[in-house]
Formats: sequence, structure tokens, C-alpha cells
Amino acid sequence: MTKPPSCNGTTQALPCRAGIGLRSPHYQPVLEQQPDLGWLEVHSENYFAAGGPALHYLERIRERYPLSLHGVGLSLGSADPLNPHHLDRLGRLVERFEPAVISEHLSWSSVDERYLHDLLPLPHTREAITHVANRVQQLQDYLGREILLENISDYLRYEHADFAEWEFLAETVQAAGCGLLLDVNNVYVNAVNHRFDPYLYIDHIPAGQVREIHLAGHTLNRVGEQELLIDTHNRRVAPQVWDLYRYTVSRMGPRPTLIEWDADIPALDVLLEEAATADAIQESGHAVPA
Amino acid sequence: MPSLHELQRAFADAIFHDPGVVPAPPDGIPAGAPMEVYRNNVFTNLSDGLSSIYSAVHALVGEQFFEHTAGQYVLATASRSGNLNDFGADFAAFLTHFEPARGLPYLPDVARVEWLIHEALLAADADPMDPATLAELSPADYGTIRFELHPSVRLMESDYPLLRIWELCQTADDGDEQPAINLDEGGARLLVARPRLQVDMTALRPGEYAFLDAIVQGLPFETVCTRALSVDADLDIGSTIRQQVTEGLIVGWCS
Repeated sequence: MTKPPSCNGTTQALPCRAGIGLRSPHYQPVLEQQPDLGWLEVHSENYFAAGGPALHYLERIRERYPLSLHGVGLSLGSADPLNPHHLDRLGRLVERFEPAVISEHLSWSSVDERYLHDLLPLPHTREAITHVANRVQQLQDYLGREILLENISDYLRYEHADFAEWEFLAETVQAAGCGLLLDVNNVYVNAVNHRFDPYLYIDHIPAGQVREIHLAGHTLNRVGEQELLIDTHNRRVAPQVWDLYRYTVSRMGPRPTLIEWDADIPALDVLLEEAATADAIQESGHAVPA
Repeated sequence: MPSLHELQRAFADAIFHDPGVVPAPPDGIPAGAPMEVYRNNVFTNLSDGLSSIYSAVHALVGEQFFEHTAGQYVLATASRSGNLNDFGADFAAFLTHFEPARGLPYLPDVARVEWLIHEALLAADADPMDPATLAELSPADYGTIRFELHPSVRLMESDYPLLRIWELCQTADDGDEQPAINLDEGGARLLVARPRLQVDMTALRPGEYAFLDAIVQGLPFETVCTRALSVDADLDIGSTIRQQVTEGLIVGWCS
């Protein structure tokens, strides 16, 4: 295994290579084949249990790969107070597995202590920036380390907004003093659904804060009168998203890049092919002038 | 302009409305916003979570019935955790009062045992006990010790042949003709446990059940034996303990 390139301007320990989202059907194949992957990412909540097979396999996989913990249920953007039980379980998981990276979403998923189990959009307002920044700081203080915030895909825009989405993302990360997990597929999905230029979005992202990139597949759905791209994570990365990724890498340099696949999960080889494509773009792409 | 809290509350109200009732667009969300995308995501995520825990209930009632039932449960039951694994604890109780499922009186018990399987899967791990540690004891102290069970051990009694019903559901997709189950063939005393990586479900004889149940209650060994032997005078206590230590169900003891 060759030594991965270092990541300019970043301090975390994930190698600047492609990784894959690890889901339970791939525990055995990954342990048996030990593919040449830079790192693996899991959903934090799937390992909140006290014991059992999921933790058993993660222990063995962690011995062989750097790990990223990606949360889907902390509900950072909720008006509710942070859930102390959730924080406790996340804290214990971090202590046990010593992940290279911990990330959460720039979204909310609960209100009045009722959870909706979906990544819901925040209004792009000063109020929301201040609120999220405050809670990211609480989380970072609790864990004693930096976290990354990820941009989500959304299907509606609220009536009132103080900022464009990319300004909202950059301002929140700046105010919170955290890192950024840039989901390039979400940028593309939102650009199509809300009719903006995805390249302009990338141009406005503070490259120095980007510690990780996500790539995934999406689906075109008809919803009532509208055609919407839905962030389904159930297929290969679309050609337009690879193009946008190429542009992102040429502008920012290489970054740890994750292939996410959460539904209709294919054979491990398919994920490895997607990861190899990302690696190839990183190896050649950052030489191209932005 | 609504506050963040008001906006989120209005959003949630627009998701959790009764099907068939079209709510007015919430304040701050434009008319025509595709709320059904979110409603669909929320209901699908919660319903898929239930389906993965309650796969036997799902197999028994079929796709359409399960989806409808799960949808009604989601409306009636707020999820209180950001971890989907915590959702669905009282699905069995919901089914007991769910009118469309009245014709399947055993269904709540199937759900009950599936929640125990789910709990066993996520329970803490424990190393097996070294039987030699018992040799430290003088026989005079046997009666006062308390055995410790693996944290995943769960016991359940049912009036229905639950193990046979559950096993039938595991092979429901094979397409083979299934043997009929006589619901009156008698109840079941079940042990659900995950001493290693896999959850096992076992039918227990009455004496074994009474034995484990007394240990679960934290009773001293002498009382455990009295309870078990009052149910089954022929129970071989020595071999029962050896078996449960070997299987990793008894993981320790304290005096």
C-alpha cells in the first residue's frame, strides 16, 4: 500500500484518499478481502448499542482502517436543547473507537422532543446560523475536538431567507469554528431543484475548512407537477456529479472522499470501483489549474 | 416571520397529519412546497425501522397491511430518540388494541418476542464463566450465591405456539408449502439470548424456565432450586447449570 498524499491545510488523520460508507452487508466481505481503501465511515447511531455484532465487527474493522463517525440523529439545528442521552452515547463511541473524523448535518430532525428521522432543512437566516453555531460549540466542547458540518439536500426553500445556501453554509461553519464536510452530490441536487449554478456554490466554499467530501447517487422523481432530484443514495454517482467533483478537487486539492450508498446496497466491488474513480480524479485532478 | 421553533413545529404538524386531511400550508413555508417528499421520507424511515425489527409480524400480515399498521403506529407514537433502534418498544401493545388486527390474536405476542430479540441483539456483551471458579466455594455456601445471567437473556411466556409461528415466518419466502399450525396446540416458554454474535430463541421445559426466571429475579441459589423443583421435581439441577454455563447464559456468580 503506497503512502497516501497529505492533505494541505487540514489537520485530521484521514488519508487524502477515497473511503466507503460501511453498512452491515459488507462487514464480512471487508474483513475477508481487506480492500485497499483509505478509510471507512459509519453512521454513529448504528453503534449506540451496549454490545452485539455491529460493535464486534466495527472493532475488527477499526483495527485495519481509519474510521469516520457520521451522525444522522443529533438534530443540531433543532430549537430543542441538545439531547444529553444522545451526547452521552456519541461521547462513549468516540472514546472507544477514536475516529479520525466526527461529522453531523447542518439540519434539524426533532422538535418538542419528537424525532422525525429525516434531515430537515433550516431557514437560511441569521437566527439559524447563531443557533447552530452555538450548538456546534457545545458539541465540540463536550467531545473536546473539532466536528465537521455537512450540507444537506433539501426540497423546499422557506419564505424568508437572509442568505443564499452557500453563504449560509460558509457563515455557519465560520461562526461555529468547525470543519466542513462538503457533499458534492447534495450541491448538485439542490442546484437542479432550486435552479442555481453548482459551480458558483463550490466557488464560495472556504476550501481551507473542507476536511471531507461526500459523493452519492441520486434519482429523478416526479412529485405532483414538479420534477425533483432526490438524494436517494441507491445508485452510482451521476456523471454531472463526477464533473462537479473534478472541479472541486481542481479548486481545493485532494480531500478524503466518501462513496455513500445506503439503499439497494450492491456488492462491495461496485463501491470499490466508485472509490477507485474518486482516487483517480484526485491523483490527476489537482494538477489541473482551477 | 415565524421563529425557528415555530417554523419547526409547523413543519412537524404538516408531516404528522392524518392521511386524507390536507393541512393549510404552514406559516413560513411557501404554498406548493413538496411537503409530501418529507412526509414520505419520515414515514418510510420509521416504517422501515419497524419492519427490520418486526420482520415476523411483517411476514404474517403482508406488505400492505404492515405498511398501513406502521403508518398508524407512527402517527400515534412519537419517537423520542435520535436513534431509530429505540423506536417501536410498545408496538406489541399498540397491536393489542389495533382493530384491523383483531382476527390475529397471537400477533401482539409475535411482536413482543421480536422486541426481545431486538433488545438481545443490542444488549451488552459478557465473557463466559470459568466453571472452576465454583470450586472456590465450600458446599455449605452454595445455597446463598446468586448466579448472573448474560445481559441479553430474556424470558417470555405465551399462550400460543410462538416458536413454531416465528420459525414459519423465517421460511415464509421459500415458496414451499407451509405446515398448518394449530393455535390450540399449547403455549410456549421461550428463552431469547445472544451469548455470542447471534440471537437464539429456545423453547424451555417448565422447570428450566422457572430456574432461569428465579435467577432473573436475583434470588439466591437455594430458592432458585426450590422454585424450579416445585415445577419439575425431576429437573437435574447439576446438568442444567453445566449446560447454561457452557452455552454462555450463566456468566458469573456472587456471594
